[in-house]
Amino acid sequence: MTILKRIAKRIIFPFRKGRLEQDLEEEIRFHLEMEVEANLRAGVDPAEARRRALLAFGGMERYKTQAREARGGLGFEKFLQDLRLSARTLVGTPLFSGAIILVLGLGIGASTAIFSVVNGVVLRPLPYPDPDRLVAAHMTDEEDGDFEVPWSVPSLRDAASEQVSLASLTGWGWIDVTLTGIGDPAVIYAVGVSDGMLTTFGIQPFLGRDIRPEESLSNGPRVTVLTHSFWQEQLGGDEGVLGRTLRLSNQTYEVVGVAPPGFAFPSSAALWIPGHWSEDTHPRGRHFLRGIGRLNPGTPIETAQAELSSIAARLEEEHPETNRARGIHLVPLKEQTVGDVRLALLILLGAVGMVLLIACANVANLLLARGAARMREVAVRATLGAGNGDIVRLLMTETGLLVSLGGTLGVVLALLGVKGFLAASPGGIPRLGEIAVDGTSLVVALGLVVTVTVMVGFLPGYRSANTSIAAVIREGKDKKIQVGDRRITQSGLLTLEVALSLVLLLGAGLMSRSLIELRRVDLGFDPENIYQFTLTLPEAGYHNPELIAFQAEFRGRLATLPGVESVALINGNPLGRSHTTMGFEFVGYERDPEGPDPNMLIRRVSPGYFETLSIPLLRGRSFGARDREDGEPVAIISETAAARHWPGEDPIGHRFSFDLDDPDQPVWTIVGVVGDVRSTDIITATWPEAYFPMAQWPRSTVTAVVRTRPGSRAIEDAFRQVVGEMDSSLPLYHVESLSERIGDFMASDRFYLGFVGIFATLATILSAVGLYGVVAYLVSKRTREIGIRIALGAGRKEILSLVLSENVTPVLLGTVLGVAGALAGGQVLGSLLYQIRPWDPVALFGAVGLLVSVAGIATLIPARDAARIPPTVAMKVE
Amino acid sequence: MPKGKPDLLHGTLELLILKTLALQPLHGWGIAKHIGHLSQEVLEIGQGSLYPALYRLEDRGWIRAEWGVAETGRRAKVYELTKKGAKQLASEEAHWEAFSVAVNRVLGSA
Repeated sequence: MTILKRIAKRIIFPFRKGRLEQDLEEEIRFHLEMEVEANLRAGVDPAEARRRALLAFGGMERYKTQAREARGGLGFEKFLQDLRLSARTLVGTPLFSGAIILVLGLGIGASTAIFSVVNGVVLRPLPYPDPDRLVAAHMTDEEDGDFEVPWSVPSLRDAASEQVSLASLTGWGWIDVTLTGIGDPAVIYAVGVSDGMLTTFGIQPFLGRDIRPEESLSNGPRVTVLTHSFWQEQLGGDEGVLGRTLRLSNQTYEVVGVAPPGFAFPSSAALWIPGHWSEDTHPRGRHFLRGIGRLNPGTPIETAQAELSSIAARLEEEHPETNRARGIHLVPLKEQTVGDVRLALLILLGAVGMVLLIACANVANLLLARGAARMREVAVRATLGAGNGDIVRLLMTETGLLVSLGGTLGVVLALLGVKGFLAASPGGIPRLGEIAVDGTSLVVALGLVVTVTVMVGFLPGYRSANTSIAAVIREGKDKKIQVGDRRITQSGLLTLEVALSLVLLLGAGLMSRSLIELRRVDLGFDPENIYQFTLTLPEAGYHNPELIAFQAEFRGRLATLPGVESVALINGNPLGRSHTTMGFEFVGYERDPEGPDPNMLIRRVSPGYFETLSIPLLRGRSFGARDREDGEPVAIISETAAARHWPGEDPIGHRFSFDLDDPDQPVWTIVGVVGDVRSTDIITATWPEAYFPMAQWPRSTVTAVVRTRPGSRAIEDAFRQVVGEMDSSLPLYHVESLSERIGDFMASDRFYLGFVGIFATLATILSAVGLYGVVAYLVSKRTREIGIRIALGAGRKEILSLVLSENVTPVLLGTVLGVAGALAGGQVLGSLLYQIRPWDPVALFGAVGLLVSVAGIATLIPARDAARIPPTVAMKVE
Repeated sequence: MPKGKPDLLHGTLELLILKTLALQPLHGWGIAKHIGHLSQEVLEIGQGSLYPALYRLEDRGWIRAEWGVAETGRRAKVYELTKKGAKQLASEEAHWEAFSVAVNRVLGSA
């Protein structure tokens, strides 16, 4: 018989069972009759002949069963039978089954959900052709610990034209543009590029062509390539879009191409335009571009890195004043995209894995306890002819059914969980759009179901099957041994639960401590009651005098609004989206040649800025009305800038320039020093900063910073009204409160803390339930013994300590293991923590204290109940 | 099993069944009687274990069964050897030969 036939036979077996059974019956009858006839022939009387025949045949039913088994095809039949039996058992104990399905559903669901997130963000390759060839390229400041810095236009152009290991190297920077002529004026996210973005990613345009490198030169044509979604949403997917023009910041751009659906880089880009940067407006010292490149096929990243490092060295030689200690660094794009999030997500995955393990330990414990309660049933089955294999199989089927139901619930929960994750996720997690519960996730869920079944089912199944029938039937004498044996397994599982819970609790503790520290960070300014919003005047319509006049009037009008205490304007607001650093040259000051690279973060502010944000003036004076366009060019620097660039001196009166060779560039005189602020984000230490009067260095994009009286409401509409009255074609960015903005910076920490917190809580509850269940079960098993002890004069204290002492070991051992595990795991967490060490004593003692108390209560309740048992009741049990 | 009669070695029953069927197709009872006769009632097959063995052999495809009519005119399930079974028989016989020679040598030398 071929394998296929055998398999077919097994599957159709249950349907042919009736006939086969008849055959067996008939064949045995034939045999018996032949035997009887033979006996009759030998002269035995009929009754005796039949008796002998039966005797010779042996135990009929037993042999029938053996014959059935030998016939084959019974596996599937037995499976169906086991399944029916299991379903009946589970329905018979709805509370028990429900609890297990829920616990496993939560465990498997949470694991599958987090896995889906990790898979979408971290594991899956980037959704571009040959994603491994894509690299992020940036410059580094070798003096500042290889700190990442953006490119300057000339450096990028030099590197791009000299290098040969990349198929292309594109620089890009955000350009805020106002789209007019389609509905209300809107600020859209345009990306200025030095080369075609689609070309770099190796993607064919959906329509038309990509931007060409020569188009990004300062005299290049105004063309644009649209993202598919912008084309669909703003232009209705117009097929004849090529050659159409768009008004962007009062300039006309011709549409030359549309990207294929789903492609946008950076992900919030609406369209790409040529950068049109010139070396005059964007000199070598001005760093603001980010770079992305595509390796030539077969070129390893190390080769490209070596080549670009040598280019960086040559640039340093040719332009020592701007490129000193500037390296070039390549990172695989995926690493750049996923970055820190990878670690955070992997930690979440680890945390959820621990919850799943605890859930498994709990379920295994429950099954063990029930296995004990079912010993009689198992013994009866064994007496009726079930072999060890049959019993293990039955119990495994039961467990498998439970876990499968839990897994099904888990997949449903995972779908909800992923939705919840996406809804709750803060900005900063890349590739959110790629997260889904997909085939891979379902395979993982299935794998979990199988693994969990084996983990939680094998031990109790094995235990039950190896229980000696005699021992059960003689229950009482051997019970002690059985219980003792079981105890070791249960204690082991409890130890595991306690240890894992502690690790999670400590993780959650560390993260909350870190978040508290983060809230305590001294930002250097007072964010309370500050609103901010950004406004961009189209450069074409406003030249410097008009710009200055408009901004002055704008500030004046805002200041008169009810509820407003003070107003200032700034270009490059703290904690904003973009920052510019510029290298400068000292004037009349001998710089230490070994000293730090002279550069500062540039901010242009209106009078009243420091006062509005409560940034303390440490020396000299603040900006005032006299610092007009025609006044002496002045600057105020931050404390860090003073200490770094003019160490040991009073910087007031010192002068510097951004380009001494350019006669149009002013020479700035320092008139004041102000306190440091956290400028780029709240964690990164302060940068050297320089402030300039906006009137002396006008910008078309300004952020209004408004301090309001506490409790001022509806201020946003008032802002809109002022802007609308002054120029109805101006769009207004989202108005936000500075405190909210700071909250956003902590959002991701809060987010991860939230998840770890949920997992830790879940773990603790599960462990407590596990402890409670086991202790309660043991107490119930020993009720009789306890009753005897009480009757013999044992006090409540003795009983309590008797029950407690047996459960102290797993809790203490678990605590020790947990602390050890947590300290090891804390190292992993370390980089996510702010100013908190992984062995932070507050978190450590807090977690241990909490866990031990919860464990204590979970043990104490059943122990106390045991001590209260009246001996008369206890003795009657069983 | 009565005392004084050797227990069948594991797997030998199958060999005996195959050998019996190599002579002629036969029903279960006939097989048992045949083996009993030939062994001069030394090998009395625990008859209940006959059918499991038959079913096992059928499942493996070494023998096949058909409902026919026995000598007595009763409906009986008659087993016959398949080609595969014949091959199996040849190899098992050889195996048994080697085995019994080996055992005899050991016993003879003791």
